[in-house]
Amino acid sequence: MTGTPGIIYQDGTDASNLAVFNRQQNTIDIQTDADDVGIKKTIIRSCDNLNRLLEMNLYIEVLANTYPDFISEPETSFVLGVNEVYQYTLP
Amino acid sequence: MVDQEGNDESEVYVGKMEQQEDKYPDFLLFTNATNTIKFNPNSKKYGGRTYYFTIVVKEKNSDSVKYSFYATVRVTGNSTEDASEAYDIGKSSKTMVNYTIVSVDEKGRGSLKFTTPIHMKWLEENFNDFFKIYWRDTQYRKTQENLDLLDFKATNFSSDAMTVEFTITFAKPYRIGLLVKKSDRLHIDVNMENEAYGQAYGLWLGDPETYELGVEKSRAKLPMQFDFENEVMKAFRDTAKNMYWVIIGLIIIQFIALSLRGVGLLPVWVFIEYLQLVAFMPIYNFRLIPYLYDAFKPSLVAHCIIFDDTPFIEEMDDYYFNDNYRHYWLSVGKMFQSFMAVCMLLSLVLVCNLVVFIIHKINCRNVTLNNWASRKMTQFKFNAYIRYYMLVYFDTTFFSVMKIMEKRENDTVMRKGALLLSYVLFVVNIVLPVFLIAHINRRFDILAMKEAK
Repeated sequence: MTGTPGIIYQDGTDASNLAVFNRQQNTIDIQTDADDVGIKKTIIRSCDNLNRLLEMNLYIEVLANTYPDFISEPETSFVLGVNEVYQYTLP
Repeated sequence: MVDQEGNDESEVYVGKMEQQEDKYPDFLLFTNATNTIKFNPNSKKYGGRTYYFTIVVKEKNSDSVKYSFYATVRVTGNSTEDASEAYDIGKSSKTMVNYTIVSVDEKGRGSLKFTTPIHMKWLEENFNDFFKIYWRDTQYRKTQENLDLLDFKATNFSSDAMTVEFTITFAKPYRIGLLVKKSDRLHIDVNMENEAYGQAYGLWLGDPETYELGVEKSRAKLPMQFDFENEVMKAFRDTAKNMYWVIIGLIIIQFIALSLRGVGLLPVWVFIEYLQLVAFMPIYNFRLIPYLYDAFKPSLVAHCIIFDDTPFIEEMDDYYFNDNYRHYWLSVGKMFQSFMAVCMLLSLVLVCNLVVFIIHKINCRNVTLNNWASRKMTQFKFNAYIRYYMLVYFDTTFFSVMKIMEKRENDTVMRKGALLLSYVLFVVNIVLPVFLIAHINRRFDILAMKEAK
């Protein structure tokens, strides 16, 4: 590939909120914070030396991801006196 | 600690609490290796105060997949004078916490917000006891009656520890928000004694004695409600949808019947004119139920066939002149479609005119055809055009008025063009009818007399 590869969704909208082509390393950086879970169909589009269109489908499956949690509810309210040492191990 | 999906390493750290950064406990030590928090308030200056911090759990390789637990530590004892660097616990000047209903929208979704973080878990457990929720209609002054909601659901106790989202359902949603000068209101009042919510495990994060609830009542205007799960609203909406076909049927039958009888089409034109008034009336003047436009759409001629997605200017499908238009699902994109239909209708009339003109001019041998063509030519001078103009008059006038009154900046060439066109249409729509009437009265003196019409 010689052109500047771009990544778009299959409906033609820009996919830079999900995947970006990294020209320095010839890699694709995939990252999203959106809650939109499911298979995202994108197209990597560029051209070769002879100006011929090159296209490749890239399907990205976004899985649901929740924050890690403690095994049990952690204690969040502490009371102690001056010069008293209190130690609490998070669950 | 566990990550439900098991797709990343978990990590935990201790941080400062938003808006309470200056109350972070300096004597807190967190050991990563053992996940242990150690408090060592080794100076008198820490005594008698409450400190705030957060325990944050997150995925190691993500900046956004995380959760903050709000935590407090209270050091007992008396606060000392030498603690100048510590903050003023000031039981005399407690932190005032207020709450307000931020918004309620037409689908009954709304949110409630506290001014500082509170103990959301406790509120979630005690929401129904803590708050008393009701609404008052515009007749409250006379009736003095607090009305019950059909349903109130707190849908989300937000992780910012300040916002509660909710949805409300009314028994008769179609009666709410109809008046312009008076409003129905939703009330959310505190229904619990300070002793009950101000305990150690209560509404407050930290020392309850340092907090105070500033307001105990909150109210918000209720906009018109569109709850299409309500049976009455659903029935009327379905009726409006079916009316679309009924009106089309009525107009077509009139056309056919009047054509067969050969008595002229005046009744059907008058019928359409009046229906146009009915269809547009609620959009421009009143907060009426959003059914009339749907039902009488065919009489607006150019609105007869309108698609949900507008080609070329898709972004306009979500843009509305005002809330009334939103209630009618009548986006600027759809208005644009109707304007295109107006233009297409004009070109159709022009093409017909051209065809008849050609038939008339070639003077063919068929006498019937010839007579027909010359008869129709007189119709095109200018009855057909005047009729066309009458049909699209409402549509073009109102569209141009709304475009001129629109508050949005006309920053693109297309918007400037649309604004210019709107001015042209608006002026023409004032001048042309006056000109037509004057012209007709001049040509046919008799029509100037009311009795002669």
